[in-house]
Amino acid sequence: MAEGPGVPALRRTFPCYMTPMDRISSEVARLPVLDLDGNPHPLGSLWDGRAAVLVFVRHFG
Amino acid sequence: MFCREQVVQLHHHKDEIHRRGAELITVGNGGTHFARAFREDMGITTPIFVDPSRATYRALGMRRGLLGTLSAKTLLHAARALKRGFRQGRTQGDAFQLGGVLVIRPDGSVSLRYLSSEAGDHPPEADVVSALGGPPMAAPGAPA
Repeated sequence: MAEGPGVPALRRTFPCYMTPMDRISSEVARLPVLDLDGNPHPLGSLWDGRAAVLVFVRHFG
Repeated sequence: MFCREQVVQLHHHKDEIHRRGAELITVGNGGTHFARAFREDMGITTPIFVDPSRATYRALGMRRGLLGTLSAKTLLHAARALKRGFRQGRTQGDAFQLGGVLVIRPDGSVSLRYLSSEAGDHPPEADVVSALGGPPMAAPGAPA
């Protein structure tokens, strides 16, 4: 899948668009996150079989 | 309130995100009870996970610190969020941790990684959706 068409321009405009990670490493993909029942899941399972938009929030307040 | 604003704004685009073959997933750093309350209060129907250790935040390069929470730009972001009707609730998680947005393909490759510089610093929703591929999503107010 090609990169979104506007993203390269955004990197020039917005400093927060850092040079992207090419790929999530297997080590990072193994890090656990918890579902709402407290069950652990490897981070990589969140994009298993389909793409994912991951929104990491500051906190829930 | 920034987190509420960000998640709710993207949640409005969940149908388009699904049409592009992706899922919208929220990850927080508070406890699961905070996440459950957040889901109920905000009416979020997409998956939510938590990482109280913040190991995933660190591994993905997200910033943490006092300056990111108290910067002058945060005041501008606050004005935007207040204008949209969002209000600050009690901090539920690490108040100094900043977040970000990643768009990840099924093979683990990353098409967008946005790391917030200060509280309230979020990528435009149109940019996030467009990073999934397919036709660019028009920004609000732009002609289709």
